Amino acid sequence: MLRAIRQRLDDRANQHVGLLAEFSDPGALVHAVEDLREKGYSQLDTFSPFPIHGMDRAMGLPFSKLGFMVFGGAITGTFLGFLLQWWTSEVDYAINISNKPLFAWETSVPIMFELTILFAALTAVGGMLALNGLPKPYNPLFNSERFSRATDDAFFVHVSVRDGAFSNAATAEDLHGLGALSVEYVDHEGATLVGAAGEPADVEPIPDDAALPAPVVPHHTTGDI
Amino acid sequence: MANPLSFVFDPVAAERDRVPQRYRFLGGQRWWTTPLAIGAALLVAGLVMTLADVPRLLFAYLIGWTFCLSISLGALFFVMIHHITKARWSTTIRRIPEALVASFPLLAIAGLPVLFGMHDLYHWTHAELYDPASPYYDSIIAGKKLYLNTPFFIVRYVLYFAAWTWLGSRLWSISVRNDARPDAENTLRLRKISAYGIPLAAVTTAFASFDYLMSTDPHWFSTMFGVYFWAGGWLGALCLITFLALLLKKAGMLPEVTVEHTQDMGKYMFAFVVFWTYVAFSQYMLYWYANLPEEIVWFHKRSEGGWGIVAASLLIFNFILPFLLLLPRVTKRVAPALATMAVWLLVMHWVDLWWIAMPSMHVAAEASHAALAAGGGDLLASLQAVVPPAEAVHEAVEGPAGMSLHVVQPHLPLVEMAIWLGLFGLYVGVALARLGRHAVTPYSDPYFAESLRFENV
Repeated sequence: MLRAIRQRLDDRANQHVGLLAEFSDPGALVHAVEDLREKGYSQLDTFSPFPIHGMDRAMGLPFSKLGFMVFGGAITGTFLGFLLQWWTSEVDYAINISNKPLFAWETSVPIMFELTILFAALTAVGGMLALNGLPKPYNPLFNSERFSRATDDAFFVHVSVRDGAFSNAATAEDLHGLGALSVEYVDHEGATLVGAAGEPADVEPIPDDAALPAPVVPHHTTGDI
Repeated sequence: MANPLSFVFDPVAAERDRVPQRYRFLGGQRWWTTPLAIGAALLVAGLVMTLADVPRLLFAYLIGWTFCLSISLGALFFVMIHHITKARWSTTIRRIPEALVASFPLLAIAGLPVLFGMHDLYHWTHAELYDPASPYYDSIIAGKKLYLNTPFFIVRYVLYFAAWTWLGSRLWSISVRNDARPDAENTLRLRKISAYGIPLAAVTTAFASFDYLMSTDPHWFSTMFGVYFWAGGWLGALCLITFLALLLKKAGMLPEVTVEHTQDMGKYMFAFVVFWTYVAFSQYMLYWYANLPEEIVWFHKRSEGGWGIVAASLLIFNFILPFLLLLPRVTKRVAPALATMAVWLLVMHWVDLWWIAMPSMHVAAEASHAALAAGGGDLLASLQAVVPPAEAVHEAVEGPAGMSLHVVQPHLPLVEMAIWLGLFGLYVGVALARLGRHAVTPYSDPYFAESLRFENV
């Protein structure tokens, strides 16, 4: 049992060991994912500051289980609301008021409704976190300096080493061929830039005050997402 | 525009041949002649069957007419809300609700039988209720005389339809004229009309529902009734828009309306199934909780015997089942499933109106007719038989109890449905004929391209 849990946690930690490639914009990211899947890669993950239309389809993600979980939570809430009302007013603390019936469904509806919403919402949040494997305090990707921009203005695709089609050299070449701005090999030790042939790239450090060339806007940038 | 009658049907000259082939209505004449012919036949059949029972005929007509009216009002709000919120997703489907909102002048003409049949429909039109010397004097209704009187009722009728016709014909004609002569100014004009149109239509819709439906039972009042009527009408409008869009798509027209758009219409339907239930239940629970005689009588009548079954069927078929069926994504994306739900909910919208109006028939017709026939003694005697005499005197002066005794069970509403479907056939036929004269989608709208790109995440 403990070993199984340990194994699971290790698998999770190792999931993001592999090549991390940065792309210039959401459109390039979607195209890169589509091409990578055509080339036979399946253990892909993408990171972007905001949800991208069509990315689920491009990544071939299966139908989310979350909806069914939320529905189950909602039905549980309805039932518990009814039970709460009935138990408190009819059984546990019955008060006779002008000989009116002790229990009525009409007065229970607001409570049933509220508990339906509460349980549906909690299941949605909790289920989303569980399905995403969150919270996740450690991820090898944090070793990459560039990756901190994934919540700001950078778009990444990640190919895991556990992918059947993965090979450091060929995959790096594929990613460069798709127009990646940079490709890094990331593992638990750190991140190394990788050139088109799979060898560690020889990068000149750019001084902070250097005059950088103006960024080139790729032709497939739509401007409004 | 030479013929003034053409304004009633369609204020914009037909431009069918100038519309690009892709956006043209390709269905041909039978698209409107068929519903018009079926509608006329059913209406005549319904009229013939109920000629012996004029109050029933008038109530059936009132229900069918308010059904069509509520759908046009729902479509009016649909168009205006989408203009005011600068909605882009709905642009490709917008021409269908626009064709429905141009129907107000014809609905005003179709409502004339309601005005002529007021005496049978509305108990409060009886003059003796307001005469303190008369044995039928009703102090509650007499207290409402300032609002519930025939001249003011007619004035309000004219005002409502003037407002709706103004809004509807502006929204329709500006949008249609924009097709051939695109101008960004038109979008701004439509937005401005919507800005004052929404509060105007909201107030008139609420008061119209008080006038035409709530006042069939003039003792009763509910401040929430306007919202209840609006919720049903909006849901009906969504269903009809969705059904017509799917029908046009099935016939090969309107490729601009994609499954993404109809899925959003399905989401809308789902949301307003819940909204209708929310309003209906809120109204019910307040009266149930207070349980005051003059308030609860309306629900009491509508939950006795057969009407209780109708009420339960509203809960099951207008909430629980549609809620569960519309919940999964697949129902909203598969055209036949969504079309089935649209027809289903349209039928339930009629059942809702039938349940609201029909139990009142026996207030208006039977209470007065029976009392008149028996010289008035009958009502009082039946009251005294069930309640203590001291209260009976009080009730006879104040209360509605005498009316609640005269509830007649619902019968299989075949005649009512014939008249409803007759009116609805004419209503849909006219809307399709109007749609056929112009492009089926506002292809020059500035938001059209963006609407084409619309996708659900």
